[in-house]
Amino acid sequence: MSFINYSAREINCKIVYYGPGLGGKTTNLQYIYKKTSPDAKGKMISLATETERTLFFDFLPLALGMIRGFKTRFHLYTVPGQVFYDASRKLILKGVDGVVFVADSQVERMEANIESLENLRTNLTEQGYNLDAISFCIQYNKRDLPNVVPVEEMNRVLNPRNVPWFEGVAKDGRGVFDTLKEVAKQVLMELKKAGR
Amino acid sequence: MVIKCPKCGERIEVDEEALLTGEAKVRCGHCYAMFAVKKGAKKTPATKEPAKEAAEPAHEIPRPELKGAAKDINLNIILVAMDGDSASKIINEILVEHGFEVLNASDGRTALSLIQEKRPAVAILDVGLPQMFGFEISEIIKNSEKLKDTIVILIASIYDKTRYKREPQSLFGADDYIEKHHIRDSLISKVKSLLETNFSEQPPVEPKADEKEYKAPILVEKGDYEEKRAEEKIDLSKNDVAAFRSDEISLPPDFEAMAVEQPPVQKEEVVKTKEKVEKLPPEHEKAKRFARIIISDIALYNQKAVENGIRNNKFYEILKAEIEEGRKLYKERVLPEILAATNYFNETLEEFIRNKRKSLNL
Repeated sequence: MSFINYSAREINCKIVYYGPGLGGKTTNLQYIYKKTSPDAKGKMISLATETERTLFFDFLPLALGMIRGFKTRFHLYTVPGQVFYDASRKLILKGVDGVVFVADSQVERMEANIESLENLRTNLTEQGYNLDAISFCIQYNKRDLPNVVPVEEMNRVLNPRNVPWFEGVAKDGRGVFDTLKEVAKQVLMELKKAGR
Repeated sequence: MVIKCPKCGERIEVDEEALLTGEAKVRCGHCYAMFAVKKGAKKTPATKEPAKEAAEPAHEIPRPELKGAAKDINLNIILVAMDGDSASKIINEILVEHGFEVLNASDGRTALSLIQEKRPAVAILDVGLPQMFGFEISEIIKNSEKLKDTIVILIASIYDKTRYKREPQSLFGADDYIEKHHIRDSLISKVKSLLETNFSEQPPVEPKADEKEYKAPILVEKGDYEEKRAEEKIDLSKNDVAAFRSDEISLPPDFEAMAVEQPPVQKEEVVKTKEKVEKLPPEHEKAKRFARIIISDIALYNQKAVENGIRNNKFYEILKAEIEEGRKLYKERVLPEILAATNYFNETLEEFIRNKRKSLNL
């Protein structure tokens, strides 16, 4: 749920990057962090082990300009992708406004993609959200690897509702901002609807 | 006259009288490779000079009579299509240094039109090219009667040199692939060996008793292509995660349908697998899939420990905590009646260890 601070004239929205382990969620955030001007971003917090696995979350506050005199701040979070960290994922989903599902395009990670997407649906439902109603888009990441599943096939399996999707190579930044803009647009549209 | 072996660089003295007919086949005394020498071929000075391997011109690779559509191919031209990063510069330097003429493209469409127009012998394609991906171009080339003789090498990225290394399951028809960090050490040897394999006319040689080490190069003709692919597929067992995709573990029907180029399996095994799929209700399939994902995650995040454990027969000891955590999670998420009747978690774990042992040649 977006948090509106009337006295500070600020709207805070929460976007969560979800997906299987080592799929590129943190890499998305790192790229956004790297490419955003210092005055638009806060400090990126990463809770990870020395082997880079995300233990709890990455967090990046991002200012996206003014809407009707209110500063909009997006708080980007990632979840730990490993199946083991379900409790953390549930916690991070609390108060979410939009979700980006970062799928790993490699053929041997398709089962992990399917599991993670099902897990997202279950965890959202537990928090009282519906994946079919929330602001949501998909990024098919790692498209530069040779063993990727064709996009049509990924869409068939992971995106039967045909939500907006993007091909990505997060480590080079390809698709990263398109994905972020799409989910941000959807969140802002929802805010606008709610404000009417 | 003295010539240089195109395979190992050994200097070989050739009697010019043997070239009276204009061409002779020569066998290298060092590596036993056979190749054709034409009269008037560039001679290597017999006098001692500083060995300059790097300056060996590409056209010393003996040019055979190319037939059919391959006739138009320019053996010393190589197309390099990269998305303008430093790897492109390195590739160019290496190829030019070895006497090749290099054509450059920075997007997929330009690369394809240059391949059609200039007919380079080799196309080195970045997998993630803008406009058209490298593997898409590879598929087009290999499906085209006119272009299929072009050698395709894909340049792929990896995300972590030690932790995230995987063998590709499909090269989309490409002849080989190189990860960016291996360009310096393997590009030129791969280019040369593919040129030789694809464009040298070498009759099969009956190995003599004293030539045990000699291995005739594999000629990749039309019919051999699938065979070569099959060899690559067998290599896939090296892959940690692919180990789970063994045919003895049945996959959900949807997932089976979309698997790209699975390793070849015996007919009996296919039947067995299908029977399993038909017999298993969805909850069981789901439980099995969940077990595979848990073990896949353990393997993915603990690659060194997994390999170490399997090599030293200490898998369960080294990964005790992870396995217990995984088993606990499996028990929490799988229906009690399935837990009571089956042990998919242990079965999958054992299967993984068996496949991993095989891939490590143990």
